[in-house]
Amino acid sequence: MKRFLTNILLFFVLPLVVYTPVYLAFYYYHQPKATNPCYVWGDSQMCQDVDLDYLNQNSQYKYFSAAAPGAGLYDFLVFADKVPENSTVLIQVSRTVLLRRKEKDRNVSAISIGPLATLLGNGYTINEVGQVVKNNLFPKRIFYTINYLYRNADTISTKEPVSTFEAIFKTKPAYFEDKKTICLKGIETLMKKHCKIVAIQFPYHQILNKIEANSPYRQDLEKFDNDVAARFAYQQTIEIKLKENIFTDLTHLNERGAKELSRQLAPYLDFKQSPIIIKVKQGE
Amino acid sequence: MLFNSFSFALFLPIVFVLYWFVTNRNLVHQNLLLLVSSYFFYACWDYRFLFLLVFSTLLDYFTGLKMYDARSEGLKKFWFWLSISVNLGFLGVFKYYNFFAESLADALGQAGIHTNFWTLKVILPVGISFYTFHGLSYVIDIYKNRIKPVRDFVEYSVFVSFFPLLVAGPIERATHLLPQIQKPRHFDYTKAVDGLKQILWGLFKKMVIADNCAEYANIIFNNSAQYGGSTHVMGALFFTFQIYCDFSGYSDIALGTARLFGIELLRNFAFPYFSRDIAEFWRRWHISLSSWFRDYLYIPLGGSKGGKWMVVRNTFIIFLVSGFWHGSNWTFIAWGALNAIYFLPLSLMKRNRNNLEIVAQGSLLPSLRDMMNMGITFALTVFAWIFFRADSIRHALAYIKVIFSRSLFTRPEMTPKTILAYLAIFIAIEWVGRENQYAIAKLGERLPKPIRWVMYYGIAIAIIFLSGSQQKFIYFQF
Repeated sequence: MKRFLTNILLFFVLPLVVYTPVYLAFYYYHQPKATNPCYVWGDSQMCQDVDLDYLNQNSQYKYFSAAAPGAGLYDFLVFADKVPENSTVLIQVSRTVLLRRKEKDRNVSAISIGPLATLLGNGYTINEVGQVVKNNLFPKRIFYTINYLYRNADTISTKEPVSTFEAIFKTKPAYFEDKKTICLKGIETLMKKHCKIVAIQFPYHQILNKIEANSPYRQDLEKFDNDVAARFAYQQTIEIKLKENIFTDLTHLNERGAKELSRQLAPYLDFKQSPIIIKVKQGE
Repeated sequence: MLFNSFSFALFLPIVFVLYWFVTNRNLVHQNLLLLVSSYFFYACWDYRFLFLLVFSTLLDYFTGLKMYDARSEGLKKFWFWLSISVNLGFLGVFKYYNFFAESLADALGQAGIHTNFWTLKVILPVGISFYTFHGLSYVIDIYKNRIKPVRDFVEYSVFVSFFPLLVAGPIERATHLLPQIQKPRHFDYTKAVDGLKQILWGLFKKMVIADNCAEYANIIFNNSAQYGGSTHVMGALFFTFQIYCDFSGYSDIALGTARLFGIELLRNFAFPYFSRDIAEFWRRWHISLSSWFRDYLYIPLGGSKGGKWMVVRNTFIIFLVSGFWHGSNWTFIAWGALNAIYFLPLSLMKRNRNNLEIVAQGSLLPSLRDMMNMGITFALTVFAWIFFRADSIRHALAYIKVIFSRSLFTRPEMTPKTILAYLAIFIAIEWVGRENQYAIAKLGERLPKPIRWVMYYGIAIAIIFLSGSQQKFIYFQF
């Protein structure tokens, strides 16, 4: 038995000993390096709705984005856990993250014990947490500095049919409250680290606004907004008033919309008002 | 709790440590631990059906004792039939009631009589077909005076619900498993390492081969109208490997897990796709079920003794029942009937025991004749699997019709080269290891330990990074 246990232990420990330094070195090497960094987090809306080039040119910060399509709350927790104390962050507060099925979440931001424990303590099963660990065994670069804007078009194109969104907003997901708690914990972590925070709630197309307004659990969504807003000292609204179409689909702005949003957002990124939450709307 | 889940990866070491370090000095405690762990394992799937498992165990335990103690043959028969009818009754209600009700309603509907039968809205309790067959074999063996009943309820319960075999077999026999449960077990390093290797190989088969093949098999079968004949062939091939690697992978994990606890389970697969005729295929595929039907159905019916009519009748009965055991759908019955048709000529010509040894024993390559026979048997098997996988007989026939159309000679719409490469590597490993219990049993046996470990790491890395999206084990539904 002793021989068996020794071999088992060796079999599992050996790769850990070899791999862990490589793994950690990868992330250390790819840490953002700049004198005045601003760390960005969000899902596809943050990727496509904000013009990083414009912000780089029109504010004192160098923007490093960890936003990724399908980003999950584990990604947010790791982001909140890893950003240095007193840093400046631009984050997205997203309802779609709360509604997206857990297995659809990207959750690729390196293995981090604290955030994994938070998931486990908030409705995630061992298998779901294990899946997150598995997703992160192979290190991937997190931060980037390039733009991913959608092309302008006169009409929207819906990759996902409207019926999909109707179905999503019809029944409150069982994990909604768990995800909400996790999201709020991420925000609180950033606040405890005395970060300067600008949070954005991106706009939806009016079709989706209508679907959301008719949702049986509209009140839960509004409560989420209120609970988030209660944690921010400042609240603002940005209205994008353009005659042309500003959307690519029901949830993402096109380049025109993204540039206009970035233009109006830039003044807030001096972080004089922090923490601040900015709700973005399409003007009448 | 699935074998390829993280919760099982936690569960197994905990039970292992408790088994060998806490309860190792007392057999009763060890068995009790196995029982509690097995019930916990089952309850993780659905605790509500645990009562059914416990009831079935109690029923067979008591009827076993009552039969043995019965003073008259009549009383013995009464207890025997009580157990058989209740066991099959449960199976019938949970697994087949809806099928019979709907089939009858359809038949009456075609005769112009429209009825609306009440159907059950309940999911099939996982493993019911397996643990019912455990119990049945025990009761039948006592009735036939082959074994004596077990007096210790915990021992009997472990026999029925030992967690590695609880939900998808192998279907054990009291004569094989019970003696192992009744005697003290000692840790054996070689067996434990062998068990771990078999688990590793089982996980590879399930997660890398079966789950990846499943993605394509599902796309092609679920949207078959959109694809041509050559793609249909690909779909059937993917399903052929999916079902083999899914089920034999599960069995490998079960056997390996049991070996960690010092228990040997019956072998369930012996490289069936290297068979040279259908009779050999059935000696190598789902062995525990095939031998169960042979011993408890085919032989009592007269087997191959008697006239040709008897052979035809018994062959059809055993294959149809075997098909129906898999599920309440006409597709399974068609699959069984097709295999009976394949098997019958061999049986009638008394050539069903021609190929008892593994193909090309001791050589690297098979002879041309063996290769041809393997190819034909494999093609027949792939064809039969179409019925097994299809949603209905109509779907299967439509699927086959497209295969035998001109589009068979067009380029397939889907040729996932990566999956085909995995399959090629997998078949090569299985071929090289075909003379062993499982393919990698003796892989690198003569090589130094570090090189062997590199091989195991290679398989583990493949499992982590090359696995397909997690699919449930196919045989859980049976």
